[in-house]
This record gives sequence, structure tokens and C-alpha cells, in this order.
Amino acid sequence: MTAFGSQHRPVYVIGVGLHRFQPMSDVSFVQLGLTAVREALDDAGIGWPEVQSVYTGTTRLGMAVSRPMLRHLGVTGVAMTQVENASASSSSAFRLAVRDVAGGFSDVALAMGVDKPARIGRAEALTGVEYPNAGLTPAMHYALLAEDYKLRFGATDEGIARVAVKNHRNGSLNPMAHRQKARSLEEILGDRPIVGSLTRLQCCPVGEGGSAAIVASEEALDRLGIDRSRTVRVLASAQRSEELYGTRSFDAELTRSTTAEALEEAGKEPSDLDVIELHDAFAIEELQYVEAMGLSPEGAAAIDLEAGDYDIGGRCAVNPSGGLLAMGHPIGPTGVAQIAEITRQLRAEAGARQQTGARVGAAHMVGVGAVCIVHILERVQEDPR
Amino acid sequence: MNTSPPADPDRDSEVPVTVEQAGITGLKCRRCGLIDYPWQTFGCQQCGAYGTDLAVVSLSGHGQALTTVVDFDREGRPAGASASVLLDEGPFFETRLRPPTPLSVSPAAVRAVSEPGEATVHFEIVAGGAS
Repeated sequence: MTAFGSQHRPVYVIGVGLHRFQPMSDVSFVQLGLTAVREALDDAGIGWPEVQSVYTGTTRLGMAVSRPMLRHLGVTGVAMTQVENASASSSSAFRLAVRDVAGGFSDVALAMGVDKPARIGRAEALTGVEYPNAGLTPAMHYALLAEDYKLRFGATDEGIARVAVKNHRNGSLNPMAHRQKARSLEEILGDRPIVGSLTRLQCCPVGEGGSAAIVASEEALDRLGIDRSRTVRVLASAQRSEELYGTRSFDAELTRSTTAEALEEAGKEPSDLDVIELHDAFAIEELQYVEAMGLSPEGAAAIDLEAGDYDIGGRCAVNPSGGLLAMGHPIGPTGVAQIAEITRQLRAEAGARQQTGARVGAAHMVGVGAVCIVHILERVQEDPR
Repeated sequence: MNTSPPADPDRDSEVPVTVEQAGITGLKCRRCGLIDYPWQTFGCQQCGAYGTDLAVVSLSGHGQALTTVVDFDREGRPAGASASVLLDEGPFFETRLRPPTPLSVSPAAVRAVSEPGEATVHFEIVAGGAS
């Protein structure tokens, strides 16, 4: 069951924009969102009236987020929908925008994300069932996975912490990142302990920000005179939810099945991926996910990472934006910000973070619930007309 | 695991006197055989059976903590602990551990306990307890 493929219309990313991910401030969510959307419209070279549907990923701003922001772009009557899917909220918003265009319901669709820090609960706490994981935070969950990974494969605290060294280094090259300072292995390991072996710098900062991506059909490219050399084609959109995996990491197993589905849909192999943005909310995740995606054998990711395979300039640049660890994780906007980074990488517009020759990229998010979403994008080589 | 939460001077290696070992209530699906914890009436999460297909089962409350971690307060002091627990009957979950919990090399024996007169179940490492 594919989301879209040869039987559906091709979909292209034509514009992306961001508001910097940053610590909580007095900036209104309206400004966070508008900044990203206006940049995406300018990047695409189109006007707001061309947008026919909007999906907004958000988790902490309350009901009906889209209209208070987007009314400042002028009256068009465009369809607006809010999307909540935990960390993957705007990944789902992007997926819905892509399917809107692929299915012929819209020619131009906007996916965006916006959030500011606020307290919010999880629905599982309201089920009336006393689940034994009550009170367990995400950091505790991933620290337990780190312990399991070390026990299974003999990995070390240093091997896990090198994920954070790489991603903080990448973040230092990204003016849109929440954290923009390179850190040594000693700084990472010697930072304030949070849970188990995870220190503060191995856990993502949760702040605020905005992100936007505009997708369009081929018909829209022709009608709007879009420069095809700056478009990026969406090859696959896969989304799955948690199954029962016994004692194995559900995050990794869900990533394995969802990525396999996305790669099959795209007609690609793991080795085809030149650049990946993935959900590294906690350092251990990156090791588990590159293995689950098929880039490293089980238990070997730390070795491959230390060898430079996942650096910018390595065989596959993983989290060149800085990932959630350095770019940050304001929740709602994170997924579409991954799409923005992959798009810039595939256009060769990523500046100091550029993965040379990048042709195919993947964006991966997991969200409590638990869901996983993977998109595969490819550079458009030349005008196909 | 060589890090321990703050020591409780009143606690020794004996069973704590303020809690009692608790049996716990799970479910067994009559259709697919899944044994799950905790008990709920909404439906089997493996096959979707519900109603009379769900049987109440008593579980021993015993199992293994496959991994354990200590969490720290803002001053870097140990504040609590969590574990991934595999019950003898099969259910697997993550949970906060009842403090104070001495942590040892994983896996360690774990058991369910409850305060006298209270229904809420907690899990703790069995003192001295590598499994």
C-alpha cells in the first residue's frame, strides 16, 4: 500500500522557509509562523493567493492556530487544517500537503509548523488505565535504550556522545540553530547529568520556532513559471504506527519498517541516501536509527560514526542541520525544518553545511504515540520538458 | 550500573517493612493468547478482541529489570531510578522504580509492591538481587 507513486501525480518542493529555532522569548507565535511562510513564498517566487491548502503542525498553542497567523497574509479563503502528531506533527502536515497535491486535490499546498514552550499532557494519562510508565519522561526512556544498546553491543558512553559532538559541530555552522556552539567530547561527557549516561548536551533543547515548505504539482510549475532546477521531487511518503516488538526498541523497529516502506516506494536503497535528517532528540537515537535504516550493521553505528561516515563530507551526512540536538526541537516545526534542510542540501544551497553532490535525502521523525514518518526527496536534475 | 540513588540509612538488605509484595492484575486474550499488563477492558492490543474474550489473570509481579538508569536533579544529585521490566509471564514495559532503589548490574530481579491498604502498584529491585 503506497502513499503515492506512479499512479499519482509527481510532487515537488518549490519553496522553504524558517524562523530560527531559539529559547523561549517574547516573540509571538504569529511572527514565528509568518516569518517562515513569507520566506517560503519568496523562495518559491509565488504569491499567497496561489496556495490552495494549508496544514499546520503544532502541539502546544491550543486550538485553531493557523488563522490567527495566516490572516495577516491577506484574505483568500484557503483551506486551513491543524495537525497534531507529537514530535512528528509537521512531518504529518507535510505528508498531508504532499498527498493533497499527489491526489489532485490541490496544485499548491503549504505545510508549516509553529510552536512555543508550554505545558501539555499526554492523552495516555487520561485513559483511566494505570500504565506502569506513568511519570517516565522521554529522557528516561531513551536513557534506558542507551543502557540496552551498551549491553547488547558493548558500545561505550564515548561512542554515544560522539553523536552529540558531530551534531553540535554541524549546528555551529547553522545560523537557524538553537545551539550554535561546537562542543568537544570532554564537554559533552562532562556536562550536567540528566538520566543514566545522557548529559544535558546529549538531550535536545525544546524552544520555539517556525518552519514552512510549499509543494506543487507539475501543472503548477508550468502555470507559475517555477524554475525547475531549484525544485526537489518528493519520491516517497511513508507513515506507520507502533506494533508489538517484545523487548526490542519500538522506536528502532518502527523506524526500520517505515524506512523500508519509504525506500521501496522511492525505488532506492539505503546506500542511495546522501543526506539524512533524523530524530536525534537524544544522542542514542541516531545510532539506533542509522542501523535500523540499513546504513550500518547492528551495533556498528558508533564505529562508523567515529570513522567519519556520518559527517558532512562522509558517505552520508546525518543531521547536517545540527539535528534536534543542536538545531533544536520546538516540536511543532521540527519535521518541516528537516524538509527545509534536505531541500537546501539537494539544491546545493546549504553553504558551510553542504554535503557535496547530494542527490537523494531522507527526513525521519518519530513521535510519542508512537508514530514514524519518513520522506525521501531527490534533486531534480534538469528540466524534463 | 555502579551509580546509586541516595542511601537510605534505615534501609538494609531486608525486605522493607512499609510495603508488601503485590500480585498484579493483567489480562489474557482468549482469542490470541496475549498476556498483557495492566488489566484494561478496552481491547486486546494484539488482535483487537474485547468483551468476554478478555480474561482477568493474576500475575506474580516478579520479573527482571533488563536495564536500569538513575536520573539526576539540577544539582547533579541522584533523584530516582527507572527500569525496563520483563515480567515472568511475558509483559514488557518501562517504569519508575520505588525509591530508594539500589541499582546493580543488569539484569536484576524485580518485584511489584504496594503500600498497605493502597491499590497503587510500584516496582522495586529485589534487595541483593542480580537475577
